[in-house]
Amino acid sequence: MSDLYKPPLFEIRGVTFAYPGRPPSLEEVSFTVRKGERVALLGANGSGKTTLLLLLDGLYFPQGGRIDFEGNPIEAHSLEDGEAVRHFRRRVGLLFQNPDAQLFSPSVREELLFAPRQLGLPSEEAEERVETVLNLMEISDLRDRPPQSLSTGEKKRVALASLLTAGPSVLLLDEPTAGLDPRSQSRLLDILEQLHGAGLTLITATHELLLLPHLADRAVVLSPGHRLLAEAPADEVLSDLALLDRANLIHIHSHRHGDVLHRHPHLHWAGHHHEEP
Amino acid sequence: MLALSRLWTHLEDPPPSGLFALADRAGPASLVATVLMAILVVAFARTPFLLGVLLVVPLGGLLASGGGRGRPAALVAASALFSLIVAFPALFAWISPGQALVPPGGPTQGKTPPWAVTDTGVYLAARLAMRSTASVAWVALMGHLLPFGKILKGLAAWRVPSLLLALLSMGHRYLQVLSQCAQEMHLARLSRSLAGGDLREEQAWVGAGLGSLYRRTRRLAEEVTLAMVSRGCTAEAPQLVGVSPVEPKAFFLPAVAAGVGLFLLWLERQ
Repeated sequence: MSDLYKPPLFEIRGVTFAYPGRPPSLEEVSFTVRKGERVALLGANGSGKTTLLLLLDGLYFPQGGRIDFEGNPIEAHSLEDGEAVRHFRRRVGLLFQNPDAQLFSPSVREELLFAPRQLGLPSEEAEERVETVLNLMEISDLRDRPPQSLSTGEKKRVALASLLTAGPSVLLLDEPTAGLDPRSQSRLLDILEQLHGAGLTLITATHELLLLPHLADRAVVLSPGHRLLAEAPADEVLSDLALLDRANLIHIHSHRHGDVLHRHPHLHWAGHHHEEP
Repeated sequence: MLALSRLWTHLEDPPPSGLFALADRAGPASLVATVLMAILVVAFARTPFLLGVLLVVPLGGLLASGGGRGRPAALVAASALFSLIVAFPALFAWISPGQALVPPGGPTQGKTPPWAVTDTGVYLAARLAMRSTASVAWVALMGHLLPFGKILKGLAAWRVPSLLLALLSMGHRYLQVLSQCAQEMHLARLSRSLAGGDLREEQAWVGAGLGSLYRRTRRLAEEVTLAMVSRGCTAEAPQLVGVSPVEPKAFFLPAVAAGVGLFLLWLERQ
């Protein structure tokens, strides 16, 4: 089934947000994420990707426009109702860029039990989920380790595992591959691929053009001015150098070979491109 | 702060032999209660002799345990020094009247001068310093034998309120992250320093470092709160540590400690 026929999961309509006393982090941003999609929020540092994830997770609320999740608005008062908030938190998980912010329990096992406990799951079911996720993420050996003693790659996996025990259908991932070595990156990408295969919707904030095809099928590009620049399949975005330049994601520079002026970006994923002026 | 944090970091994976194995067999609930009993006995002990015994036992435990005992021992030594500083004024006659032991200049007109060190003062200062050092020594021994997570589990088993456990757990976590952050800032500064600066520069750097650390703490605290809310935490105290029931065998060691302690206190009062 084409993605267009899938039901919308998140509908973001004209969203504007500013932190107190600061210029807007997002201005008039609109797009839709459908069930089972893999969408990347692509933008340079400071373009508002993380803020958008926090809004999608109902941690902050837009000052203009609206965000709907499964047809219901995400608003402060709608998340005050105990049942509604439990339903939402169970369905949507957010992976923070800094795993130290996310891992606060005394051991990995307790960390994984945190969400099921908060969501009021029976302890047997919670334990069962922890075992399943420990095995899925191949971190059973870390079970009794304190999170602060783990490597960055292990912390990222534990942080992701701590979301999965809630049984989410949507994962919001903030720079999931940041700070990881190539092996850990590839391992994490495999896990995300598996999760997507299992039907999860993945929304990933990233500026890693090299990894974009592995992270998403579609990209929502944010401008340095915190507005929506484009919404297109990942490969189209990657081949649109003018768009990437406007998004401040590549640097196009000029140099001369004799009488000929070359203007070209450095593209890691496509080698060294040369364009005639 | 850094030293304390290093102490806990180091103690996360103790080798399961000797006293560690014994602590492992006893279980966290039992060990935590035993240490609590010991601290209670320390609180009620009166004579420097009994306090000395109660100080020597955990120090002996630390010495006998092996496995990175230097840091807990340093913690006990620092505590002893701090206690001595606090107890220092109690040595003098103006706080502890009594028989002058070291009267500088000798008695004046048959009266003890206020700056004279009295026998009561020595007794009180020794008791204060030994009491606080012995309490810290027992806690250090517990921290040496049990990883922090297990100490929390032990406390949870005895139904210590989850809010208090959450505070302890989060405090410990913050300490870890911040000490790492402070260390990185220090190293970053060293890597850009050609030679040691003067006192004014040092003061400026310490001030700026503290400010930066404060900003990072605030940011981290906000992120942690968001991460907790994101995973379903409401305004209630989050339950960070699972509660498992206390097994009957967990009562044995604390009961022995309580019995021995009561006997020692009874002997002391005879």
